[in-house]
Amino acid sequence: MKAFKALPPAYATYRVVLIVVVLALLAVTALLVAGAFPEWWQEVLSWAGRLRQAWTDLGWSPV
Amino acid sequence: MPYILGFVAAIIALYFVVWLLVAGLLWFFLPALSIVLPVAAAAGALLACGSALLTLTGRRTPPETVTPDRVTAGATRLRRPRGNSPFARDRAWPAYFSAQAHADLGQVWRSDATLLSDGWRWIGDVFRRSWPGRAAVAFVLAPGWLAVSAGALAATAVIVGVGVALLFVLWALWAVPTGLLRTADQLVRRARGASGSCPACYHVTQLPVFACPGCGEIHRDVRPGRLGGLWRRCGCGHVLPTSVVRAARKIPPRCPRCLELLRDGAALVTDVRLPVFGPVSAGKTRLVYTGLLAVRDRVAADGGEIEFVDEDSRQTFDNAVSLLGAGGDTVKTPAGELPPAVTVRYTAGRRRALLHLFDAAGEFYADRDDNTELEFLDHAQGLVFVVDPFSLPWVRDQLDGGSSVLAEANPAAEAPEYVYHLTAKRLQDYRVDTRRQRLAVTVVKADLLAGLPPADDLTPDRVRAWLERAGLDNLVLAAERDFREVRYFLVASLADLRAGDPRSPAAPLAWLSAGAGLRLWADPADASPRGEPDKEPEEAV
Repeated sequence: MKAFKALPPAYATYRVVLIVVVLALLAVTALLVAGAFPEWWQEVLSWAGRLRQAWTDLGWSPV
Repeated sequence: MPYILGFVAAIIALYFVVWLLVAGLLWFFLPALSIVLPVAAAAGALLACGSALLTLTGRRTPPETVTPDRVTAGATRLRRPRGNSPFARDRAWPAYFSAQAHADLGQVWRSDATLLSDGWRWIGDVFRRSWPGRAAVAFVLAPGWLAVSAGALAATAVIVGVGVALLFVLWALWAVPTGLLRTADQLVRRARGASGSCPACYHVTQLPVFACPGCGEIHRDVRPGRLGGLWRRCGCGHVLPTSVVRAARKIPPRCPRCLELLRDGAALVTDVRLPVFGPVSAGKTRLVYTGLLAVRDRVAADGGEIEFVDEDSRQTFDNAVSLLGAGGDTVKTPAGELPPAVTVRYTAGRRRALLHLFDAAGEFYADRDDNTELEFLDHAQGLVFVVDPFSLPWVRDQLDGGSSVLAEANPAAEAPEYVYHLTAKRLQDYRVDTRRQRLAVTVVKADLLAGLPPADDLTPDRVRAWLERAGLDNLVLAAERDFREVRYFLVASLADLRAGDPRSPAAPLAWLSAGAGLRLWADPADASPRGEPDKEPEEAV
């Protein structure tokens, strides 16, 4: 994190606040979209489920 | 005929081409756009979020850091300090809201705008390169990137807007305690009458400077503000308390003009500055030391304490007191040398103050050029004017020319009126508002004058009338015209003055101190020591 090197702690704190703002906006947008188009959300969930199933089917296990 | 057939065929072919184009536009391109454009706009919004995150984490075009060096160079959005200060702002990290917040959010916006403009520049290159490229730009790239740009700009505007709103709330949470601390600092110092008097250059300041304990960097304005709310971070990283009151408790304050260390307690406690002026050999030095001695005894009787804050003042005082105690006289103040103040700290319960007495050689007051150097006169809250009665022709005429008293009195050479007018003129020339000051006209050597014919009707409460009769009526009129309040004292500058003597040398000092906000004891007009019954002085005059 180049931006936090040699900076007063307060600067880094406030930048983290701004980063949280961006992430929160993304999350809020995703929730709104999921609420407005539930079928998209189901699609995303099923896609994630298929991905997980594919991963399970690979049958990898630690040596 | 073949021409007509060819023309008809061309018309039909053109019709089909146009039909295909219109059909393609209506049935393929427009429906595709209606799907692609929102997706592109959403992609633009995601792009903006990614750009903002990369910018804020410093992975891509990080915001320019507002460093202390940029603050001192004036290369920030911080306003220059108010007033005519020749100094730049201190080398310290500014509060985040003062400059860095603007830099961060501005860079978020600029990064996004740069990304989009790079895209438009590339599309422009594609457009200029070939006809197929122009078609691609017209039907695919330009509409798509337009949607991306719209989405990205909208998302960036939301990010910046929400960021500004949140930072405003945080700024308010920062600004309220900062403003309160700044106001409290100012009110406390004003209520105490606190200031710092430089022992080297006589400069008096409400705002002393502080050297960073970490790197020695001078901080000229430590009040809470743009360079720190409750604390400030020096350019070296050391954290300093803001506000003069808090800083002065931890770091020795310094004179802003010559950077000399101020005395312990300067800028925290009431600061009283009293010059004593008069002709050569009038008895100024003797008045200062016997006065301090009497003040010390009187304050101690009330449970208070007078102590010296620097070794020079202590030694000078001890020497003078031992001379006076042995029946001798104080040493003549060196002419041509600007005097250091004799400074004592007054403590009574929680009340503390610094009392500075300035005793310059009489030669300074007898010369118009020399007295310009006496800067301490400009910052005085009250003045003691010493009148040597033996320098008055009216007194001398009544004494035998060869009187031993006259020889013992060692009368002042210059006339009091001359010295007074020269000093008053000097104060006016330097725009000192004497109408706000007190003047203690002090007739000294009362012990020598006692019992002599000129002092027949001279009592401590009739000094003014006596001065008028002695030929100083013009001086009295001028003093009462020039100063806010003038009081007349009759003083015997003796180290062992008996208890209850109304001629105590502490009286003028106590009265002037009270005018400057420091009541040395309950009734400053009463300078008699406590603890012993008042006795009529044997040599009352």
